[in-house]
Amino acid sequence: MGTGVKIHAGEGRDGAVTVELHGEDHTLGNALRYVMMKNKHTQFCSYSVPHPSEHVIHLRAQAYPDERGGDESMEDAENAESEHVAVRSMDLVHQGLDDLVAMCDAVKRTFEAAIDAHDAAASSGQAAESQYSR
Amino acid sequence: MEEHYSGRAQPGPETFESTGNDLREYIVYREAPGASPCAPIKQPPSYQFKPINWKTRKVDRQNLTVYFSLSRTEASTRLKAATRGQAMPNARFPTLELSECTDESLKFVLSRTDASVANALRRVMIAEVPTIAIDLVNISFNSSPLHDEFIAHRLGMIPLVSDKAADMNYTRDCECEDFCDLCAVVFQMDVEGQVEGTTVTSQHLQNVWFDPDTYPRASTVEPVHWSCGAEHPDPALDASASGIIIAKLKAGQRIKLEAIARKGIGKEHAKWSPVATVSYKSEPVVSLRLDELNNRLEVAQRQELLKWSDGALKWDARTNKLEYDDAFKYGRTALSNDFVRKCGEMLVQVGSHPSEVILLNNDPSRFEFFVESTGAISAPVVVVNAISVLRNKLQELQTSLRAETLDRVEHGLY
Repeated sequence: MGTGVKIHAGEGRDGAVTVELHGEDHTLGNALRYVMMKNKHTQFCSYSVPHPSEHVIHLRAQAYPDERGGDESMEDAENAESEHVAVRSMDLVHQGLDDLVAMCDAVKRTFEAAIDAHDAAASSGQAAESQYSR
Repeated sequence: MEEHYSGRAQPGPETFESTGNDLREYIVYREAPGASPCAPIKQPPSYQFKPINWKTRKVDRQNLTVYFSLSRTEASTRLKAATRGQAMPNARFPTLELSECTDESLKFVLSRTDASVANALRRVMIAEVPTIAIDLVNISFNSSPLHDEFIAHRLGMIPLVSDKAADMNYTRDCECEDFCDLCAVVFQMDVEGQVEGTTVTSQHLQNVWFDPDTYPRASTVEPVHWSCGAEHPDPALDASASGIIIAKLKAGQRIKLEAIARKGIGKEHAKWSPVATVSYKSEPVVSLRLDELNNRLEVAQRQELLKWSDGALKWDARTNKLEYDDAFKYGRTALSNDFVRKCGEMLVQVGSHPSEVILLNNDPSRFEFFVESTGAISAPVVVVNAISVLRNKLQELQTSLRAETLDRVEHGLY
């Protein structure tokens, strides 16, 4: 599986970024889209599989513009604003990955706790012996 | 939370406690000559914070760097604050209840999350949890009724105990020239048909590297001889005793071969999938629009329907209409299949469509999972491994995305 990413940022005036994720598919794309949509700073987020036989997905994200506005020293305010949004949009992608990692940890923790509880109940109830990690 | 997402640096003492593992990356203008770009900053040199002028960006590329602006504690404090503030009420912490658990199969309910997450977990279990399976077969003698490819394919389908798969290498990544005990397992088989006929099964596969002291990993790999958990009462049909059938030989027929098993994932070939099936379903919630029901149906139909409602509805004699019974109001929300079917039929009779009255909603945040293992890895371990695989994917992405971000910033391309 090819790995690696490619970022397309600051190419439009809206400040959206598109990230090519090589070697990924719907497995990661849809889950990542979901957690990023949960972020209140996300204005737009979606992913696409440009071609079914190429192992690459395109993830597009756009943040709401900062309420405090861009830098006042900017000469070209509109351009500056879009680049500012681009930075924030990239932050969304980073944050989305963090959130999904945190979610994996949470599920793993809960699952292992449930297994332990099940094991404890099975052994105390003298149920059939079962080993979960051969 | 606002500054959390700001593109500008926040000057302050905590700003310099970079650990390399923190949440946010920010771009600052560093005036520290001679420092290599992108090096993690441990001690603050003399800093002067300047807003980046995105328009001109005529900064000295050598001195432009990206650093992690939040310390680990700061990040976690903000994360907690964000969760408390319901920024992401469901997203980060799904819950899980285990209902049935054996080595072979597993049932659990994953809730407070989205179909996309449930589906990611399902897809990873099917296609991306590594196991070991026979991949290359050297057949030196075959006079059986089955041709070589047929036998090779059947061998590939046999699940092999893959508990140590996580510790083994993919052959393509291994440092050995061809294959070795770190990335492969070799089986040999030489069976000759007896007069009464011989059944060649997975029991005939002999692990060449069976010595656990010399080959701690490869020696643990053996065929999963059973095909179901329960022992069959008829010993002749008990798969747990006889193994998985590969071929049947008449007197004098012979199969001699060497099979090399390798680590792989289900995405490459389904023989590497650790699960026979993984499925999830969300619970349907049936609800009724009673006012619509009363409006659309005739009085006689409504009375007929009352008999089917199993006590969920009652008759209001004053208005001749159906009403929720107390039990229904106090939480008994089940409507029988018969009721739903009858109700649907009546609605069709009066020229209406059932979906206008009976609402079937799948609870979009509760997922009942069913995982059935092939025996290569026990079902609970499949789930744990799947989560680890997903997590590793994400971390690899994080690493390369950070590197790419740094690279772009260096080239002024953000």
